[in-house]
Amino acid sequence: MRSERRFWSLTLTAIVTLGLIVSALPASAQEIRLGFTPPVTGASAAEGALQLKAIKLALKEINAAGGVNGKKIDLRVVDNQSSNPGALTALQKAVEQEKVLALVGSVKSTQILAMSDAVKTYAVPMMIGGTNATLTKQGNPWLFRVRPDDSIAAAAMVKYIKEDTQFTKVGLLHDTDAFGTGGADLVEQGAKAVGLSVVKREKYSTKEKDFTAQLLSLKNAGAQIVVLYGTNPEDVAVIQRQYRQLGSPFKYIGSPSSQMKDTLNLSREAAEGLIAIADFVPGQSEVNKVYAAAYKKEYNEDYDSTSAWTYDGLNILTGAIKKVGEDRAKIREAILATQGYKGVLGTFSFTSNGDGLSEVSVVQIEKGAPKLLKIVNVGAK
Amino acid sequence: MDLATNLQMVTAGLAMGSIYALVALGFVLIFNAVGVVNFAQGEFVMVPAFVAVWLMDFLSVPFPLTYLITVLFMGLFGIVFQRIAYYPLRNRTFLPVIIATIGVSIFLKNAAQLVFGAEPFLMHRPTPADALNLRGVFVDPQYIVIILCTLALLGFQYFFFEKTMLGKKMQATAQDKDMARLLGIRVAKMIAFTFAYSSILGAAAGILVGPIFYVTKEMGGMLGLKAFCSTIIGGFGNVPGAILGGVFLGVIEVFAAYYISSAYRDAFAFIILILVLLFRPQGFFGEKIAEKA
Repeated sequence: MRSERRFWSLTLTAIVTLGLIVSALPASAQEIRLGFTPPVTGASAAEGALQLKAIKLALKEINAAGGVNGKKIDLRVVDNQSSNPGALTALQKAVEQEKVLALVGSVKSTQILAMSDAVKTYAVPMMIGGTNATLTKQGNPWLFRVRPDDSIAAAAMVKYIKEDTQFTKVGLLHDTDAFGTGGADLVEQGAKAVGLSVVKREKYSTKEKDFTAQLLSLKNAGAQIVVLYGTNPEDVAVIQRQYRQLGSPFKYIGSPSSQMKDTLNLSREAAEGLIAIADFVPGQSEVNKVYAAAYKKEYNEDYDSTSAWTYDGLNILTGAIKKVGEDRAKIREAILATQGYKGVLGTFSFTSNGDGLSEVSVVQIEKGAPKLLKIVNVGAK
Repeated sequence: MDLATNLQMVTAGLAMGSIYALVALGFVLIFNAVGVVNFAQGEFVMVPAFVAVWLMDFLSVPFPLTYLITVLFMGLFGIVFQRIAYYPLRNRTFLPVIIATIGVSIFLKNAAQLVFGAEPFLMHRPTPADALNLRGVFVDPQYIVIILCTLALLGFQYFFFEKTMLGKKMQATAQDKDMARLLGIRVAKMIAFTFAYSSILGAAAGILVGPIFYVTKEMGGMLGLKAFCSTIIGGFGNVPGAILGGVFLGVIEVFAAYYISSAYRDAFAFIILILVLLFRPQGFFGEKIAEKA
């Protein structure tokens, strides 16, 4: 009796000790531990679930192909609770408790800003999906963006007007919020820099309902093509319809909001033939088609275009580890050295700031969906 | 500036103004009847728009029937609304009633989101989507429908309040409740009718703007606010004032956006409101007696 109890207590102690030792190890010798901090709970939980699907597909493919340098990838998912403090906590937990080598972070620019200082202190590479242009220009060498930032769309519109159309008189119509104003500023500067004249700049506030005054003013100012930098799909849809009703008095090119599903559902036939910018178009490349097929096979549904960045992010990260091994500083250099990598979102060529994509797609709306006209690369900035 | 542009803007302004006028009228009728500003007036436009979308999109009910059902529903809605937000509080001061209307407004918005989700809906158009080209002036046919319907409703209203017994009873109730009661008018019933009528005006506005505004839970917010401005500009409590105030605001907004600044389009309504309050607090058509209503 006595010896039996002794036996169990010893066993228990042994198990607990062993458990502690195991969990304290950075990673077992057979595995490389990476982190991911999506929103599992909170307001963006639905997005988070889609991001998880995309990244888990990448994980499955990598491990099925034998892992990285003979080691399996162990992906630790830490919930960022859809909030800025939650994102920071998730990062701390991933690095300090889970001992991850590197991680895939968030898609929200504000959450990335919240994590940024800690990322710099830990000196841990983090792949990000936030599109605020300033994120990678604040002296943090550990952030690597795998989506085109907001300034790329503006630059691409200018490039498209300059190189692919005959128009020289550009009009601007934009939302007065930070996104619309910022985008229109970039277009205006860019247009002037390449010798296009900006004949009129009109604004509207979110949820305005009648755009007759703005559209007529642009028409009467002699604009040949008007750049619409809108944020809210409802506003953009009303503009598209009223633009049609005024007899399409000029050519139209819109920021990504002009080809979003929500917008096209509302504007319907009024959007047909309009030109817009998209991050990418499903099926625009071979890699993209392969991804679509694999995703469909795995989850029996079409992939979500706004979360595919996590797939590219994990692949680029593990690709870098494959080249240089498990050293954070070397991984950083290897990511920055990634040039011409063909991903789902496009062809990645990292700049020294850590921006992976400098291309977007110019699309035309056809039968209610964006159709690729051309991919515009605006080069390193 | 060329004539075509100006004519185009006048049409757009008149159409927006007509909608402001309809909603403003709803404000004034309720204010006159019970002495309370109904802050859920904007939702009186949002609810019928959702009802119409639901009938047309989900149940494939044809246009005329949809409109009829929506109007009848909103009549009933007005009566239920006053039963909840006004009737239990009728012997208190105006403040609890105002708070109650704000409460109902918040409730309705969230209920709409719960039932229909946050995505905006497209209401089918009874009119062609292509603009009419009237000698270089492009006009959305729906704008013309809005203006004509508003005129017809105003005509009906004049007839109703001036020529029918029910209308006269409602007017008497609005003018002096105690006197009306002494004369044997059932005041509570008349007030319920007034709410129903005000709510039907909202139904008209909702059905008319649905196809051009898109239908969202927030669609009533700005409309209600602009309509409120219209009533103050026209002279609070004054029926012709509310109508003309609404039309005036709609037209001024478009022209100010074109000639002055499009960024501050929404601000002009409130600038005019402040100017009116400063220099002619009784409004354009108000009587110069303080606090008569």
